Amino acid sequence: MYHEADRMSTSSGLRMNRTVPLVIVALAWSCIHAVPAAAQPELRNPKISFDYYEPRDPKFSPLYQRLQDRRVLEELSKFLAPVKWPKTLRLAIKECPASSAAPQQPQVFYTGNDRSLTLCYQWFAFLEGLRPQPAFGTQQEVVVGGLLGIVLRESARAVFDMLQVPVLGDEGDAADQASAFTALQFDDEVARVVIKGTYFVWKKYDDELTVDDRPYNFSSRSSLPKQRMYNTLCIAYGSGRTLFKNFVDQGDLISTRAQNCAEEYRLVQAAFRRTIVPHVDLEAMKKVQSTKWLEPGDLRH
Amino acid sequence: MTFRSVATAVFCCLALLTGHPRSAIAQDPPPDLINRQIEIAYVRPTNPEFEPIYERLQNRKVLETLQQFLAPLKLKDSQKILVKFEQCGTPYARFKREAPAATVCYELVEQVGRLAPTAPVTLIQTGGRPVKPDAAVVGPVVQALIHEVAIAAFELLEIPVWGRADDAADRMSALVMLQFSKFDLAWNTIVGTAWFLAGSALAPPDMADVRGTMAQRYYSTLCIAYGGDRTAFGGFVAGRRRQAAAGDLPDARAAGCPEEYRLVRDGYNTAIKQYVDAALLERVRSIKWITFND
Repeated sequence: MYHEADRMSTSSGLRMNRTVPLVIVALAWSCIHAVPAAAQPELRNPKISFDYYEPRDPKFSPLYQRLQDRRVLEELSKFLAPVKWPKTLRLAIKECPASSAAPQQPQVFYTGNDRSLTLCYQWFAFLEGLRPQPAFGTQQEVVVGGLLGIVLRESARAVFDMLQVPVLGDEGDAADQASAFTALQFDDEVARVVIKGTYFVWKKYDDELTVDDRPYNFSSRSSLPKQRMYNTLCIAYGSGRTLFKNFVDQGDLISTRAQNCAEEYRLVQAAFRRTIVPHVDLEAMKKVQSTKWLEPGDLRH
Repeated sequence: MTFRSVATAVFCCLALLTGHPRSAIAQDPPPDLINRQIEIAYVRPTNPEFEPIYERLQNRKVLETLQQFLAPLKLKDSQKILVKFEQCGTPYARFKREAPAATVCYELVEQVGRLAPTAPVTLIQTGGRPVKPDAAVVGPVVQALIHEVAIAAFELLEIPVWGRADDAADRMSALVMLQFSKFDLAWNTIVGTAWFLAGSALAPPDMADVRGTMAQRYYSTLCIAYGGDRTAFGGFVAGRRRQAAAGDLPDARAAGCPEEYRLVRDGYNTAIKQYVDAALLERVRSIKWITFND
């Protein structure tokens, strides 16, 4: 089992908490909702560019304006700055064609051809529609967590692609692992919110399949939403943090899978250390680490 | 290539395992080709139903042959991989770091035999090349052995594994099997594996399992195969035939298979190739290990 003390440091002495790319998303959402942002580290990486595309649908115009005013992508770029990108990473917010994402896929995606990470206006609309039961959490928790989790996931895909990280398993599962693992390097608040939010997003997709009486598509390249729910919980539970023990106690993660989660977490941790950490500017990372990204008050409603 | 050598060994071993006459082996492996860091064990089953399988494996020296074929695998001086056949209580045994071993369960071998056809079967996807009973038995066990050795090698050699480890091992198995196209082994082992996975997919899927479902493993195996050899496995792609059939790779998935194959191949080249003795590998690859009978 991986203990709290281990979580705080790596063999190289680097604190892996608050891996940069993930944090940015939370900021973006906070900005959108006019939550005061925490102090930002002075970071800039010339290998990151950003574009706000004006939406065709007027219903997204207010969102377009707000995101731009709040300089969301600029803030995101600061958080991605510690990564030693070999080529320019393009961050973009745009209205996406209806067919740009398969059903049950978030409308946030990395594209290798032009090395862009795109957040669709539609994705923000989807998140706003999430309504968790009060016993599970607040709407803000699942919105912020869902947004962070998916952006972390696509940032991971950008890292895999641009840094030529060997991926022996399914790339989508790998990105999910990297997202959950990165979130778990933050403090309890961020870790809890991202894991819960990510879980809730996949649960929402799985529920939609059930409601619509649609069969599972086993021929798809991606794991199914229900599998991704379990994969996310397993990494979290496998971290050894008591924060996630209730997932097993409540039956969200069955015990037969839970038995192996520490091992699953360990494999991800080892892969992260060997393939990602060497491509991170440690000094820049420390600046990011010094920032507190989420305030409990941000998530009350 | 480490895993090619594993596969080679397994092909040979499995020919023996299935009870075919010695003539099924096309060529005896050179006696000096051996990896002494591969330890082996046939664990006697407590269930008498598995006794014939156990006896046959042992009599045919399946794992001894595997030691020869794993010769190119470069382990550190103190490292060993234990490869064993064992009664597990389930078809699959989880790899345990505290007692590391590449374990193939008698339950799996029994299940493979039960699902195999008794006569050649012609599928729409395979056209004029029927699925041979040999292939339906040998293929899945070859796949299982490569899969389990891959998991053990990931651990021992500290190979970074992104994605679920079992999925990575499945993809590595498909990549390995594809390397034997000139002996027709790739076709028979992959199609045989697909036959078994498709048959197993009829059981209710366990969505919480650490592995993908059997149906997902079926499609992923075929996807890597198609991505690596679009000519040989093109018959499995719906859009490449006039008539669709159950078990086809949908066009949407098939379009991305070359990329999926490239990712696995690149992952091998970056993370695994360094642990393979190139000269020994060439020797292993120069041998024709098995001929599949109808």
